[in-house]
Amino acid sequence: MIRLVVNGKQMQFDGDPDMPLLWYLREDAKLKGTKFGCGIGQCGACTVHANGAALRSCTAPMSALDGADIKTIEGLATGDKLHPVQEAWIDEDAPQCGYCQAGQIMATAELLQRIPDPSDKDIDDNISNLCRCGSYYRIRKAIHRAAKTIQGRE
Amino acid sequence: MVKNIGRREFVKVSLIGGSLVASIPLTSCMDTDALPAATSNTAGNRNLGVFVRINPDNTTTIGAPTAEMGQGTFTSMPMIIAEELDADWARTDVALMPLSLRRVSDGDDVSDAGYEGVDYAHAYQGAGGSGSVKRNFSYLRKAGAQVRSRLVRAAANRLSVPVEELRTENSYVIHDATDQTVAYGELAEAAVALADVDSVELKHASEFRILGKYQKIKGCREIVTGAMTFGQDCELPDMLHAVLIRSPYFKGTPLSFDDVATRAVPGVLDVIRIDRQWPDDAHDGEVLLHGAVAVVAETLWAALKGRSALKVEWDRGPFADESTEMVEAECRELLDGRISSEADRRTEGDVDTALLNAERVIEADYAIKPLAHVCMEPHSAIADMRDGQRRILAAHQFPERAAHCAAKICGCDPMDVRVETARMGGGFGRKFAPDYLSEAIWLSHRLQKPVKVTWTRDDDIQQDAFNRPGMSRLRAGLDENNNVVAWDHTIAGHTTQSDNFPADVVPNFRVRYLRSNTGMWFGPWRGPGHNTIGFVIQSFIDELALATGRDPLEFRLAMLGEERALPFQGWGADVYDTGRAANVLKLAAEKGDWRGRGELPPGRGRGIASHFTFGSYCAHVVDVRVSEGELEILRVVSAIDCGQAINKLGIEAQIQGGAIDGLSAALHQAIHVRNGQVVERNFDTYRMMRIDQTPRHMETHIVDSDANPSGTGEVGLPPVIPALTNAIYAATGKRIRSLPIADQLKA
Ligand code: FES
Ligand code: FES
Repeated sequence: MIRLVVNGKQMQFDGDPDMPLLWYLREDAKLKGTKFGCGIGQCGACTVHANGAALRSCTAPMSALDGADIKTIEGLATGDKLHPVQEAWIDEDAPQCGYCQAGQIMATAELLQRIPDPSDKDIDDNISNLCRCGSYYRIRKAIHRAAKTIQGRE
Repeated sequence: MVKNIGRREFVKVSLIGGSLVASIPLTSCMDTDALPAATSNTAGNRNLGVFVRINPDNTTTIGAPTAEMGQGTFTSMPMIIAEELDADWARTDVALMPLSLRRVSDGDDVSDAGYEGVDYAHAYQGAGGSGSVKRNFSYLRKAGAQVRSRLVRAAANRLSVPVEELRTENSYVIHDATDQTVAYGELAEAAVALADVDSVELKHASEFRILGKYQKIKGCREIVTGAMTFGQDCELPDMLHAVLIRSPYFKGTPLSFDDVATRAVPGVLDVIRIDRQWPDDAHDGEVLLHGAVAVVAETLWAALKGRSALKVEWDRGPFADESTEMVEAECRELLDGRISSEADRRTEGDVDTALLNAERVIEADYAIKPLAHVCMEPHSAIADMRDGQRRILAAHQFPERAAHCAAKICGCDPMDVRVETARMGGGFGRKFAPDYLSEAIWLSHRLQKPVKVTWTRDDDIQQDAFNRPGMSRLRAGLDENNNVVAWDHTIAGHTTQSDNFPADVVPNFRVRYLRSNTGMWFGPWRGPGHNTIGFVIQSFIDELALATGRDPLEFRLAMLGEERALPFQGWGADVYDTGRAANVLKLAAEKGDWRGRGELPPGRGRGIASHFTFGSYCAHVVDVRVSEGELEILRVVSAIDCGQAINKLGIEAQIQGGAIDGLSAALHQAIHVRNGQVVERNFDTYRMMRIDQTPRHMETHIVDSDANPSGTGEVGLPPVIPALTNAIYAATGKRIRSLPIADQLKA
C-alpha cells in the first residue's frame, strides 16, 4: 500500500507500483489538469510538485512515491485566490491552445521559490518545458511579472 | 450603418428558465442545464446553431462554433457576435458548440465540407486553412444583430419610445432623452415573443467596441487552474480504453501476433486485429484505419502495459526498404534527368527563350525534409456506437468527418451521430485526418461499448501525416538592369503552393512538379506547402538581390512593382494585392530598422522575408548573432495585414507563435526513414525549440485595414524561416539551402 498526499488530501494506492504518477493523477484521482505530452521526461507537460520540488510525473513510478506530498495544478491556487504565477499567465494572455501551460506554470512556481527574481538567463537554464504553439515569448514576460508580484507582496 | 438583408427565421428564440436563448435555429428540446460544452451531455441538442443566451443577471453566453486549438477562435468568433449584439464582453462566457449538420441535396449551396448529402447546418465548423473567421464573419455578425434587434424592439415597447431613439451598449438598451436604461436580461421574456426582422443593420467598422481591440482569451482561468477539458481529458461512463500498435512500416498490416503476455496483464480485456483500410483515393470523411493490433483494457495503464508485452509480425508492405537517402537520391535523379513538359504545372511566357536571352542566369537547389506535427496533445477519441447512442467525443478540427466515419462503419445516417469536439492541445493540420476517430468508432462498433483510443507520442510521430518534403531547382534569368525576366522552378518530391509570388509578376514563369515515390503519408501542417515554398522562394530572391548588388528589400519591392490586384491562382485566396504585399515589407523594414543593418557589429546579421498565406500578408525582419557556429536568434519584428483585425492580442499571439514554431522547425526538425520505418519517436530525437532559444525581443505590427478579415494562425510561419536564413547569410556569408539548419553552421 502506497500512501501519499495529493493537494493536501491523504490518498492510498494499491495498484501496479510501476504505473507512473501521471496516470495515477489523471486516471485514478481524476485530476486531469496534469497533462501527458511525451512520457519520457522531455516536454514537462506533466510537471507537478513532489515535496516542493518540480517533478515530471510521467517518469516517476508510484513505487517511488510512498510518503510523497504532491501538488498538482488543481492545488496551486488557494481556494478562489489564484497563485501569482496563474495571475501573471492571465495578465500576459500567455496560453494559446493551453495544453502545455499547467506544466509551464508548475515549473515556474517552483522556480520562483528557488530563485525569486530570475534573470533571463535563469529562466533559460531552468525552464525547459515545450510549447508547440510557441507561446514562449509571453511565458517569459509572465514569469517576470509573477516574480515582481510575489516580491511586491513580501 | 451598412444595410444588410438577413434571412427569414434567422434567429429562433425561446425563454428558458428566465433566459433568452437564441439559436439559429434552435431545436425544440433545448435544456438550459445541459449547455453545450465539450463534456456535457447535450442529448437532444443536435441541431443547435449559433448560440446566444442572455441570462436574467445580464450576463451572456455565446457559442463558439469552431473548435479551439490555440488559434483563438473560442474568443474571436464569439467576439463577432458580441460586437453586433453590443454585449458586455467582460460578462460574456463562451461555450463550445457541438457539430450541427443539415441535409443537402444536389443543387444546394454547400460548403467545401459538405458531401454525401450533409453539410454544416449553420456556421462553418471546420478549423483549417486559417479560415474560421474568414468564413463565418458575416454570418456571425448578422446573428448578433438579429438578437440585438429583438432586445431593442422589446425595450421600445416597454419604454413606449420609438426604436430609433434607442441605442445599446454593454448589454443595456439606453434611451438618452429620458435617461432610462434597461438591462438585456430584463428584456429576455419580451424579446422572445417578438418576430425576426427581415433585415438588420450591421455596424460600420468605426463603431466597433470589441472587434479590432486587444482582447484576452476566454477560458484562460480554466487553463491556468487545470480545469479546461481537452480531448485527452474526456471520459464517458463505463468506457473501455484502447491503445494500438500500428504498423511501423508504411502501408503495412499485421500478419500475426502473440498476445499471451498481453492477456496476462490485469485489466486487459481483449486484443483485436485491425486490417489496414485506406482507400487510395481516400476523400473527405473517408474511414482511414492503420494496419494495427488493438489492446483493449479496463484502464489506460493496463492497455499501455499490455501493449508493451505484445509481439506482432508485420506484412511490411511495398515500402519496407524505404530510406531517406533513397528518396533524396531519387529526387536528385529526377532533377538531373530529362524533364518532359508533362511535368509542367504552370507556364507563362516562354521561359526557355527568356533564360537563353538573359544577361545572367542564377541557379540554386534547395531541399527540405519531412516534418512531424507533434501537437502537444497526442490524439485521442471516444466513440459510443451503440444503437441509440451514436456519440463521438474528440478533439478534432473537422467534426463532420467523425459523423461520416461513423456512418460508414456503422451503416447509420451521419445526421444521427452526435459529435462533440473538445478543445485541442494543438491541431496544426494533423487533427484534420480521421484516422484516430475511425479507430475509436470501429472498436466501439465491434465491442458495442464506449471506447476511448489514446495515442502516445511514439504513435503520434511514427504515424504522422507528415509535412511534404521536396527538392527545388531554381533558375532565374536577369536582364541588363538586373530585373528578373524568367523564373524556372522545378520541384522534385512533394512541395506544393507554387502559385505564390513571384508568380504573376515575372513575365516568363514556369513551375514543374516531379513526384517522387514514397510510402509516407502527407497531410496539412501549419501553413501547408507555404511553410516550405516560402523558404525556397524568399531565400532564392535574397540570393538574386545580393548577386546583383541590390538591397534585398528594394529588390523585392521592385519585383512587386506598382500596386495592383492580381488574380491569385492558388488555394485560399482570390486576389494577390501587390500593394498590400509591399506594405507589410515596408512596415516590417521600418520597425525592424532595416536601413540600420549596415552598422551591425561582426557576427550579427539582419534578414527580411515575406509571404502570402491564405489571403494574409506577413513579413518579418529577423536579427541573429552567430559566433563560432553558435546561432542566437535575437529579435523578430513582424508586420501582418489580415484585413479587418478581430482580436489584436490574438493576432499578435498567432504571429509570434507562428514565428517561434517556424524557427523551431528550421533549427532542428526533420523526420528520417530507415528500413521502411520512421526513425524519430519522441522529443529526444525530434527536437522542438525551448524558451532558451526563443528570441528575447519580438514585436508584431498589425496593418489597419477594413478589408474582409483573413486568417492569422498559419500566416506568421512561412516567412520567418527565410527571414532567419537570410539573416544567417548576412551574418556569416553562409547560405542555408537545406532544412533543418541543424549543425550546418558548425562546419
Ligand atoms: S509527459 Fe512528462 S515530460 Fe512529457
Ligand atoms: S499553448 Fe499550446 S502547446 Fe503551449
